[in-house]
Amino acid sequence: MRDMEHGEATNLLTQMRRGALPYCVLALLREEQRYGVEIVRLLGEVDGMVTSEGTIYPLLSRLRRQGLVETVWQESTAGPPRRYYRLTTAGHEALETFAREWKRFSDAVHYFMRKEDGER
Amino acid sequence: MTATDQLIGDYLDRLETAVRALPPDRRAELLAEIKEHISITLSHEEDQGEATVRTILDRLGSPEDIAREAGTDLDAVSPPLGGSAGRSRVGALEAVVVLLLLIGGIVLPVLGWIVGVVLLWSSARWTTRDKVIGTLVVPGGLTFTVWFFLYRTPTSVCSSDGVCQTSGMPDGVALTLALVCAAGSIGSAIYLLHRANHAVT
Repeated sequence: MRDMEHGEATNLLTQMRRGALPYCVLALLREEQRYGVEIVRLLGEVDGMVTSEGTIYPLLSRLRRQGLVETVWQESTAGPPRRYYRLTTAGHEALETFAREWKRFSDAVHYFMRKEDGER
Repeated sequence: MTATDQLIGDYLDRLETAVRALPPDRRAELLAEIKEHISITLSHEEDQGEATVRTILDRLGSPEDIAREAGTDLDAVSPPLGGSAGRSRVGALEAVVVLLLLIGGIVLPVLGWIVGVVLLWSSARWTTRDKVIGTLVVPGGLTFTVWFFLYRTPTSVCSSDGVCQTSGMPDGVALTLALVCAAGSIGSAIYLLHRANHAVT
C-alpha cells in the first residue's frame, strides 16, 4: 500500500515534469534565440529536469508545429550553419499565461507544504 | 571507420529504424538534429575518444525513447489517418514502386525503372539499406530477362560483300544470366513488399 502511494507520487511528478518541460524550453527562449544543443545543455544543467537529452528535439519540433517557436538558420563561426529557435508572439503569450498560473499553483502548494513542516 | 564512428553510426541506425513511422520530413529533421547534436557536443570536448562518445550517446537516451517522444504527439495530433491497422498494410504507392522496379524498364525502357528507383528513394516506408538492395538487385528488374527471351537467337548481319557478323551472347551464359536476374529481381521485390508491410507496427 505504501509502495503504491509512493509509485503514484512518482508518476504524478513525472507527468508534471513532462507537462512543465515545454514551458521551461519557452522560458529559455524568452530573451534570446538559442540553438538546439544550447537548449539541451541549459536544461541538463538543472538537476531532475531532463533524463534523455535526445527527447528535447522532438519536443522542439512539436513546439514549432504548434506555432510557439520558429527556426532560423544562422552561420556559425565554427562548422556548418545552425538552426536557432526563437519565440513567436503566440509562444510569448503561452509562456506568460503559464508563468502566471504556475506561480499561483506553486505558491499554493508551497504554502501547504511549508505549513505541514511547521506543525511537525 | 573508427570505433567512435561505428558507435555513432549504430546509434543513428537504431534511431532511423525506431522513427520509421514518422512522416519523412519530420524523420529527416529529427535525424539531422540528433546528428548535429552529437557532432557539436563532441567538438566541444577535448578528448574525443570512445568513452566521451559513449557518454554523449548515454545522455541522449535510447533511440526508442526519442522515437516515443516524437511519436506520442503523432498519435495525439493525427489520429484520423485511417488508424494504425490501415497504415501497416502495403499502400498503393509501395505496390507501384515495386511494380515499376520489376517491369517499369520493359514498359518504358530504362526510364520506367528509373522512375521506380526515384519513388523508392523518396518513400518513407523503407530504410536506406532496403533502398540500396531495391536499387542494386537487379538494375532494370526483369528487363534483361524479358529482352533475352525475346531476342535470344544470335543474329547474323551480312553485308553485301558476303561477310557475316554474328552478335549476341552464347545461349548458355545468357540463359543463366537471365535466370539469375529474374530470381534476383523477384526476390528483391518480395523483400521490399515484406519490409513495407512491417515498416509500421
